Amino acid sequence: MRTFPILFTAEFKRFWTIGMIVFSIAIIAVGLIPSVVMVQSGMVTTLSKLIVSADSFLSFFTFLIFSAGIVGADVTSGWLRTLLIRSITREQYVITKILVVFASTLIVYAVGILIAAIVLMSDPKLTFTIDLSLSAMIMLLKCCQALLLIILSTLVSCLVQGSFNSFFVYGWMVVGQLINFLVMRKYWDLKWAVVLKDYLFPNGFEDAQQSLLSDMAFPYAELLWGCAALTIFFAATLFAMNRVVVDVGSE
Amino acid sequence: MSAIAAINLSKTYKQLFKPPVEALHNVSFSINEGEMVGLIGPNGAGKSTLMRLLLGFLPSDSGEVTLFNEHPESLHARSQIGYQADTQFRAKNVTVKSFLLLHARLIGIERPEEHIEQLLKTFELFDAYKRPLASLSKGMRQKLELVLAFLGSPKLVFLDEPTAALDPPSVFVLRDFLAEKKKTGITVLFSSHHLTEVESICDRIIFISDGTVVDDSPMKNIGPGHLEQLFRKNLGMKGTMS
Repeated sequence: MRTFPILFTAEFKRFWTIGMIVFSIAIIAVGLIPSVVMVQSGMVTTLSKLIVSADSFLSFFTFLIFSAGIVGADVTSGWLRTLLIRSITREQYVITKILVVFASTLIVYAVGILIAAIVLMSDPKLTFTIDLSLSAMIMLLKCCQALLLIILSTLVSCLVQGSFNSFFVYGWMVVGQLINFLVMRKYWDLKWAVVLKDYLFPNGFEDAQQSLLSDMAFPYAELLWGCAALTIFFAATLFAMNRVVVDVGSE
Repeated sequence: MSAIAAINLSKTYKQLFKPPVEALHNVSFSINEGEMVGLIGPNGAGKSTLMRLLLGFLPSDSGEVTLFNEHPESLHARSQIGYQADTQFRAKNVTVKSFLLLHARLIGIERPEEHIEQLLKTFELFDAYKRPLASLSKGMRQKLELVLAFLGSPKLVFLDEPTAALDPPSVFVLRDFLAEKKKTGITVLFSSHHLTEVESICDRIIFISDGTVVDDSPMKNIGPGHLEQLFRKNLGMKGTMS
């Protein structure tokens, strides 16, 4: 069990390069502007809605950059080979990598939302309320969705070398949303299309957030879909990790 | 006990839009504990592929590998081996010190700093202890790979072209180091194109050509200075020893 903390600490330090710190500060700063503007214009009046609006910008860039080449880059550079030669299993490695990216994403989320909340609460003219229980639930679902995206990105990274894995996942997500939009607008009378559109991309946690924010019934089905996707893709990632050719050499 | 046992190993690389390349075909051999074995053969013979199969880094199409009678990916077997690859790794944001300390802690070495210091001094790399990995020259990275391979005094070490980027003094250091290690009963599988090194270090030769073992002889049967002749004979090359 001592392997995990040692490996996590080393990978976490390796992850946070100066470039990554500068990028994160820039993303938080730029990401805060639209959120603050939305609160000041009265479009966002609660903490839960602030979390959603801040996340739409923060998650896009943090996920895209943080999980790029999460496994593939280590295979190409030979780093993975040095780790696996002794005392580390492939499962330990891939779980540690997922946790490092997840923890780093959470840090950026938390810092961004905390700064935004402090800035907004210090302005007495604004009507901004803190709905703690709903905010906590939304934040939890955001974390689950972030974890799912990181796992998907890791799975793709196990299959292809290089750093284009997160772009691939984003492409998949965008295509899924486009087809979803098309089905809802033009082909809503096709029953099979309406059923299938929900399975194009594992969006259970996002859908659950929408249900909660719209004061609809508690989203059991969406949560179940999200949890099922998380489990299946995590298992697929472990399976794919065990088939990664670690030492890409000259022959 | 055998340190390495390979039974009928075969590997074919399948490529899109290209004919498959058979890298190894029914390779079988066994290496006992304490042996220093030279793996020689021409370029593309399958030496590096064989090493990767033995380490479990590459899945074989058929056949079986055991290291100390265990599966090569079992943690217990892995804790006893070291590996220096023929390709060098790169890493950002890591110093030589943090890299070696990480590995020493993962292996569970007590008082890692002393052990690392000793190995770095042996391979004349101590001056680079606090330098970032990215700033090391090719030869220095090769030495670092060697330090990593011998970190924690493993019982079995795979060396794939260990002298490829080393200058002559470093080659002499490695040769002396291996001679010292030989006395401790370490098992080494040593792949090289430098026949004089193989002759001076190894006590057995496995010759691979076109993915098959064409010769497996003790060094004493070959005789000093006759490795080149053996090489030429196995490849059907004409000419005499230089």
